Amino acid sequence: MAFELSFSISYVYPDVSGGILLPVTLSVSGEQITVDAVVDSGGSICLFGLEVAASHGLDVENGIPKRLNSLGGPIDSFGHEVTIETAELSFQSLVYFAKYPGLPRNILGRHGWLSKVKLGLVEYENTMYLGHYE
Amino acid sequence: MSQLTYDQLAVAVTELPLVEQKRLLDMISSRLEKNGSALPATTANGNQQSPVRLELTKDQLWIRDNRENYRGEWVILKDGELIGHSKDGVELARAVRSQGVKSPFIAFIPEEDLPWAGF
Repeated sequence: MAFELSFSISYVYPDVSGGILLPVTLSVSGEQITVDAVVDSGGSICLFGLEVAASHGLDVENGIPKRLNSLGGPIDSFGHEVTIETAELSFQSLVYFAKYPGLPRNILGRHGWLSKVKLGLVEYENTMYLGHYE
Repeated sequence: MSQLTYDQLAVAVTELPLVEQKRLLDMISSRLEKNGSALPATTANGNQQSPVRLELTKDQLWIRDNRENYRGEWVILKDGELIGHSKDGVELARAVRSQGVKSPFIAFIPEEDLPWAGF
């Protein structure tokens, strides 16, 4: 017997070397900023650049501090509660912003995003299938 | 009121914003459910029609088409149009924010599109 999943949304992602990119809209105090972020099952949390926080006028270091491990060395970050919207799926999440500028890419990781969605992937067709986790 | 043909209606629907198309789909789904014939959900094997199929946004298309001209820079876009660009992303973000631009798209375009080996 086969396993079956159903999804409400499909998204054709760009064929680029930077990974599987998904547009993410972050809302803080009613202000919205959209960025591309990489879907990363290896990421424990969701991480965004300081530049994204600056677009919101957010005082980054006023958040919950967390040191993260990466292949390039540790990354200092601060957690903030935001509304996160990806492909028409919207929810409240704790996401982190880098302390320093120059984060090479934004990350959609497990806590804060992957844990709240169902995700299917057909890389051969550059297509992602998404739905709320219920 | 004149009668619309199916083809005219289909063209009109595809010209609606995606959010409005979703509203229309929800309305039709609700009517079908009441009649006991709900729409099938999307499956990853592609055998059934997708309820909502999203493509690249105007801003993503701009990045794809213009990235060679802005290597090593941050860009801020709004509805597929360039609002500003700079090597200093924080200063650019603050400047654009002070202009009161609503819901911009911000991205960094790397010097080279090298493959990644994880983060």
